[in-house]
Amino acid sequence: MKEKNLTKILVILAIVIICLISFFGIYVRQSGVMNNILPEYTLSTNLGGLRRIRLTVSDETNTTVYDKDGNITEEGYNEDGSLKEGYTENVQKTNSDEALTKENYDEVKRILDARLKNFAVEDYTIRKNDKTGEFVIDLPENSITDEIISYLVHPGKFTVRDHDTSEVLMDNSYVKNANAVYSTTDSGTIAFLNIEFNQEGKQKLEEISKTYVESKDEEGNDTTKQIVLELDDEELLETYFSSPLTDGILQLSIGSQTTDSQEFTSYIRQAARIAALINDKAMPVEYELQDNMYISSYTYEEVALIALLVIASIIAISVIVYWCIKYKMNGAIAGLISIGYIAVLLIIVRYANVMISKEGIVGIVILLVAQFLFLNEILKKLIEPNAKKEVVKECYKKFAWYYLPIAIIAVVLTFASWISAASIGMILFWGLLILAAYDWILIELLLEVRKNKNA
Amino acid sequence: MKKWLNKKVIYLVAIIVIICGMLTTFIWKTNFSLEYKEHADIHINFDKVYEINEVKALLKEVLGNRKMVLQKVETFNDSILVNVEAISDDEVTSLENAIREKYEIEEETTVVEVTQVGHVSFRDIIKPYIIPMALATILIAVYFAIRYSKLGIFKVVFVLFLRIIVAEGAYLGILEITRIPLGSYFVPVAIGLYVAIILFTTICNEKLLVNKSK
Repeated sequence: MKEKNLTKILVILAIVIICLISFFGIYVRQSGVMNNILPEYTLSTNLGGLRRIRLTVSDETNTTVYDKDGNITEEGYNEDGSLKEGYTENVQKTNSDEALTKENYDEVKRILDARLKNFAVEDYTIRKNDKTGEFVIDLPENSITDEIISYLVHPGKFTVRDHDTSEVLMDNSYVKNANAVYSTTDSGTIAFLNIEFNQEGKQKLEEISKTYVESKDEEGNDTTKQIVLELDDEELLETYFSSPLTDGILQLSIGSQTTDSQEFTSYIRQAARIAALINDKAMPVEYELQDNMYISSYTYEEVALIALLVIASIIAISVIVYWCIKYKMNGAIAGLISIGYIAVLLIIVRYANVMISKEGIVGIVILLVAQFLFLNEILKKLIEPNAKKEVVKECYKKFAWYYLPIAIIAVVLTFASWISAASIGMILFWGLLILAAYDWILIELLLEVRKNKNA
Repeated sequence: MKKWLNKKVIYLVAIIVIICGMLTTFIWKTNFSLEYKEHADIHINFDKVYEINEVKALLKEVLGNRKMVLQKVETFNDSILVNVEAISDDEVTSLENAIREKYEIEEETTVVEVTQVGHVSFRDIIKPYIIPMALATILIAVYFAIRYSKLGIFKVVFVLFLRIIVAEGAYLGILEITRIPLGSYFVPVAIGLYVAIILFTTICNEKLLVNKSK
């Protein structure tokens, strides 16, 4: 009996220590400063910080200068900046007035949405101003946020041009699918941008690959016709073909062959980002990045969340007090088990790197309710006349059926690509696992059959 | 009989709430919170560390009691973002002058910048959750159909879908009728309600199954 009591005291002490660790942390002196060695909570954009960017419709103009013969030239100005005699210039807005329509802004929103999905951004908000066409986008703050932003503002205009005449031979509309691939040899790995063209594009590419080939005139001068592949007027590649391309696939190497994994990751990511741009239509309106700032979420006005936590805490305390009054010792121990349960859950959440969102907090509240329902049933059964310790097993079986659908929800949401949905899924998943294991051990060790004197 | 009547009353009230909610939406449109509806972002640069209570007092002085949301910008505690539904040019000037005076900011420094921010559509708010929630519901329906086949497959599946639709519809209806702004809490509460309905339906079915076995 004494040994049993000692075990109980030790287990209760262990729960108290776990609670202290989880709620207050473990502080050790590191470089003269006391640091909490528990990992920090990972917070989603609706709880932690976020990056906010503002994209405004570009009002830039492009000036084209023509010489006396009507050819485009880049040397059309005198030293004082005036136009050379006989030369003409054509000033064109990047975005024509006709392009600034609600339909085009909607199309830009669709393209931005598709790009963010392609870039595997799991949590974002796009705000569109229908009148001005401006976009305010909230993105998660992490190591690749800047890279994502730099690709997001690209119009994504893919063109294959004739090197000499600048005639556009192909554009985004010919692309069926683009993706990033790689090839490994003994000397390293190389990343490729793999562009697969649609039926029309396939025929066009075959035609181009037969025209743009190495050639020399009768005098032996090089007359090779070349094509230029461009993305938003930036040259990706200048090339010609040695044999006709009949499969409708074009592969461009991105970066160089490398054995360095970090370097390779950056090349393959670059290829994937370009592929995401090419895969969709080019933006019908060009944008400029106006603002780019870090915002610490809703720090000062989080009334709803605080209210939810306060209400949940009051209800939890009330339940524990009720247990203590009704079930005496068993009730107090069940209360401690419940607090310990949340403490263990919060430690696991930190170590498993589970992103906590507002949805995740709701998940914790659901688990607390599930824990209360379960313990309440056990406490009730333990004071019944003729109660035996076996009632715990019966309760387990009964509640396993009750909570199985929640486990289904947890598993499905865990694999959701949207981080807030995944957050509640992962918290429910870990919470149910802990509920099964932690409660089993502690109920067996701590709760006793105590006949109700009034029964 | 009494139980059945209670159920009927609950469904009837829920359906009335849903219909009233739909009518309210049709007449006045959904009342979104500041973070989702079109609003003005006031970016205030103090050029030095600010005190949040002083800022709140200044804003109250200029903007009155209108609803605003304050967000910390960057990590230096020297600038802040204030979301308000609208701000006039005169109010911008008053705010700028008040802040310049209070924080002794030089004329060359830009203190207040106002940007009109567009809305977030309701579809965009719920879209990421539709497929996972639908998949979870279908899997649960399949599980119910197997586990509670003795209670009648059609009945258990129908009741499951009915309860989810009525509960979520009533939740949205209450928000519409009471004009509580629909904000970032909307989806978490909707998911919480969904899980609660699933749990409640499961417990009811388990009890019915036990009774049937007896």
